[in-house]
Amino acid sequence: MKVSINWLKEYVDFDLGEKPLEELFSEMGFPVEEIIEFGDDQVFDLEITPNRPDCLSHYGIAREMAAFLDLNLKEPEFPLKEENKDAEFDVKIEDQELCPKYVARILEDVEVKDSPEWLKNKLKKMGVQSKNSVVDFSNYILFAFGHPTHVFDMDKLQGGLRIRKGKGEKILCLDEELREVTQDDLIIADLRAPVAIAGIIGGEESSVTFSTRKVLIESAYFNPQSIRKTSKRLGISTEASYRFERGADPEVPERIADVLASLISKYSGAKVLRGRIMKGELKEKREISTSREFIEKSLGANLEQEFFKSKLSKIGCKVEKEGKILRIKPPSWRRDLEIPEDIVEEIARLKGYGVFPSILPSIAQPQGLTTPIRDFRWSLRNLLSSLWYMEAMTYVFVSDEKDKFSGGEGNPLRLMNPLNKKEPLLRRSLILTLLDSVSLNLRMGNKGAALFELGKVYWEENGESREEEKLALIETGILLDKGWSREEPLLASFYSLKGTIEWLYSYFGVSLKFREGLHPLFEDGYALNFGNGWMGLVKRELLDIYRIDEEVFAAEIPIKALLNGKVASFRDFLKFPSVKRDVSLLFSLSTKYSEIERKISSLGIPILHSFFLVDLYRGKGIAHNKKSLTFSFVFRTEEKTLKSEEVEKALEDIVRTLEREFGAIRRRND
Amino acid sequence: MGNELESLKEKIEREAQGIKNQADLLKFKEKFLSRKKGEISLLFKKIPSLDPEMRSSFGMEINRLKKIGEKLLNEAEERIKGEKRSSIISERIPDPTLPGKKKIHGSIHPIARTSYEIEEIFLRMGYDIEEGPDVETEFFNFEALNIPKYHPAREQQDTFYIREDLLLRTHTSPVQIRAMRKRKPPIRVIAPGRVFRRDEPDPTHTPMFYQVEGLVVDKGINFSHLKGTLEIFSKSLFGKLTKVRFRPSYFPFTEPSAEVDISCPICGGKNPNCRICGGTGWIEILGAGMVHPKVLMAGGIDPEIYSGFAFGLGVDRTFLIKSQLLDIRYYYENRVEFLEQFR
Repeated sequence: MKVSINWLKEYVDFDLGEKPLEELFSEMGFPVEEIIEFGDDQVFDLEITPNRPDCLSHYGIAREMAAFLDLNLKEPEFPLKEENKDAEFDVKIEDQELCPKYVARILEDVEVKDSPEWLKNKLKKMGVQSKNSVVDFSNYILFAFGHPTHVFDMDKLQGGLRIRKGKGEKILCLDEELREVTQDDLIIADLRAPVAIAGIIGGEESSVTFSTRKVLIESAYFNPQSIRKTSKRLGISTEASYRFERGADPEVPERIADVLASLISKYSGAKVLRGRIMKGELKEKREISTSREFIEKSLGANLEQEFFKSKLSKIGCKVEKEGKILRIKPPSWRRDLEIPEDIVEEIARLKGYGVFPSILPSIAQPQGLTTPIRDFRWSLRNLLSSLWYMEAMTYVFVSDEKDKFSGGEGNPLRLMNPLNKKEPLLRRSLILTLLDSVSLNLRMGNKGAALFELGKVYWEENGESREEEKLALIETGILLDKGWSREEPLLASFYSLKGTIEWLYSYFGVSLKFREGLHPLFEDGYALNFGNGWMGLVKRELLDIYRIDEEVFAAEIPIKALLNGKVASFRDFLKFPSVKRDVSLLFSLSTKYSEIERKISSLGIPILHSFFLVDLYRGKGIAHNKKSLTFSFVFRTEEKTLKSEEVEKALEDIVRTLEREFGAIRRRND
Repeated sequence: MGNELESLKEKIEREAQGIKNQADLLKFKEKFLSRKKGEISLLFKKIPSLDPEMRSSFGMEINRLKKIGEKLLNEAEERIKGEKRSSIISERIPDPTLPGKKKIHGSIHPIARTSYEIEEIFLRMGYDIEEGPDVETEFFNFEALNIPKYHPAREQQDTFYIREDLLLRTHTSPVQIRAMRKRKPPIRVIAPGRVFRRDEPDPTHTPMFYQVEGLVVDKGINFSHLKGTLEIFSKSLFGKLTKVRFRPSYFPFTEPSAEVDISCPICGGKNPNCRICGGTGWIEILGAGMVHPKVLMAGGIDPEIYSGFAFGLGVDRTFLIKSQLLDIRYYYENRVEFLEQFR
């Protein structure tokens, strides 16, 4: 709400500089968004909360200041001289609920002119262009007193006015847009067609122009929800609709019609016909019962007895005391005062929030409990960030095209009103949004990136929305160049990512078994499944959507899969030394490591404690369809020191089995 | 005889100085100290040919010479060991002023860290953590919070809808209702999490951001408790010297409602062009208020017996103030150059 300081001073006397005034507005609950200089005047742009439509005018703000600073509010005079001729027109409210009150006045012999300079100037400060000496005063009234009015060229109205719902008709509005009004919209129509969309915008045809001779003033009260519904549906918000949808003062239309009539008669030489055309009635009895005790208890402070009555009267409340009970009748313009808590706020606000004490509530049963998953997230953050992974946070919106790769459960959840029409779905995989960040990093000239995200995926199942928290890891390119710090560059790789997963599972004591599988996110033959988790080489087709040329490795794991790992039990220290033997074997290129591993384990050799891969070699000295694998076998037993023959025999068993099962050939280059 | 001893001593000292390596060491030992052929041992053999009164003093002299020889040998041995070690070390550490070998490490997102800091302050005050879903019903996000359909307050929060009655939560406040329905007073919870608003990204808006919600419900909770709690919190987060200001405001789910400003931690109000406070000296960080009786009722709590306060703050904004970040879109772009600044 733009407030001109000079204009404000027409209603209340004050002498405050820019800073103190800014402080005051802020204390009143109307923070200043901007101050605009206008020659000898300043315009403060105040942020008015939606519960205070009564402060959407200069008079309203002045009224509030008068209450705050204990000043007198000046009531401007608008003398009205009526003709000896009755105002008559056929006005009917067809929907009393949406239009509880409609007041009209009729002016004849209007000479529409250019507005006086002072008025043009005032409207300019409000950001409104001057039209003519009739329309401008309708706008003036809005900014002065906050009540929207409308002026019709009465000669253009046929037969009468009906306040009714739309019937699918079209109306050309003042902004030159053609709009259709439906059953959901309240309109003003003459006996032939709509002439205004009630409380929002007038029709072009019946607007007041320089040739207008006869004017009908409309000053009404419309149902706030109905105005808001139509304003939203049509996507149009005006100064009038903004005020009506927040709640206008239902008791003021009569007086406002008089004031506007007085101004038009004074500045456009018009004759005001006798009497108001009044339809509908809106009388409401709001009364709030509360007590000083309740207010003080709610605020945690005692206040002077006099404060209540004098301050509440100052904001227009009628206060009666009955024993301990305060019966408060709020003024018609304060739509927001309904319950005792509203009075508590008024008292606190008028007193100033700063004066109340600051104390901590005493805690009966202090707990400070966190959730297991919250603490677990932090373990993950600390672990992964101690490697090379950087935590990312990404938006959750994806396109249909990307979602096809998600491999997620159920159906995707679709937004009715996405920000970007191309991305209407909620992600079913974190990888789909992490790829956006990977792509950006590569485009920005990074040679690689390793990111992780802790976030939710969403889906729909049997009409229910579901969400689950997941951990996603993604890596690509060169993560660290070689140089002084590192003899070899650190590269993102399939095995690096797999190692990270093994490391995580082992850290949390969760058993882990990889299986080859098929997943739409990953290339066939390069995807591994482990429990509910997946990892692999991201599909080229998908990377192309993100314009990523590099190969990308990614994994996604439901967080709950990592929770509740086993607590390790103690194993006694080694009493006898273990023996380690390395063996290199030639295998066919197509032989899977996992099969070799399974075969060796299935032998059940009691003294074989563990074995692991030391090296994979291809190239010089080896046929192109072969690979050399070097294993380390660790032998040990709890009972005794192993003899060399025992170890050799076990090793022979293993080698012979591999030769038999896989056609492996032992390499003796040692 | 004295001369002979003296010249041998000089010879031993001279040759000991010349020892350069293990071979020299052995040669020296062989030459002077060997039992059979060592020059010192040979002197012992001369004793019988001396005058009887000279024999003991001569023997003592030879012994002294032998000790000197042994001492020089030891010293030389130590010297060589030392020289060998320092040559190995100087190869390994050619220049202590060379840079250290970098340990690669990742980073934790500043939003996660900031949320954690905020949560910790309240955990220590005895608050529990609650979490709620991102996809909320219209009831929990609006109705239960006293924001009926066509309420203007809905416009302040442009909402992503999935269906008429299903949406992405626009604030963490629905967790207030969930917590009240799940727990019995006294209730003291905070609820951190993601929220969504249909805002085009710009330097001060993103369609997704993080909030922390707080709720206290008990008998006799009043406005002064709200003030006390948020003052302590603000000082814990932004420093002891922080000033806190409460201003009237409006939220449909609280009555009275307040906005909380802190004194600008960057310029203290002294810089008229301050990027963070715009020269006003104050920065809005929190929305708060006493829980509206309708909201208590929606949570199944009797407003005649209990009262409460609630507050919410933006994590993104909090870190923006602390770090003087220029553009909050950076949070969700995840550029390495950004993330690595906040390890």
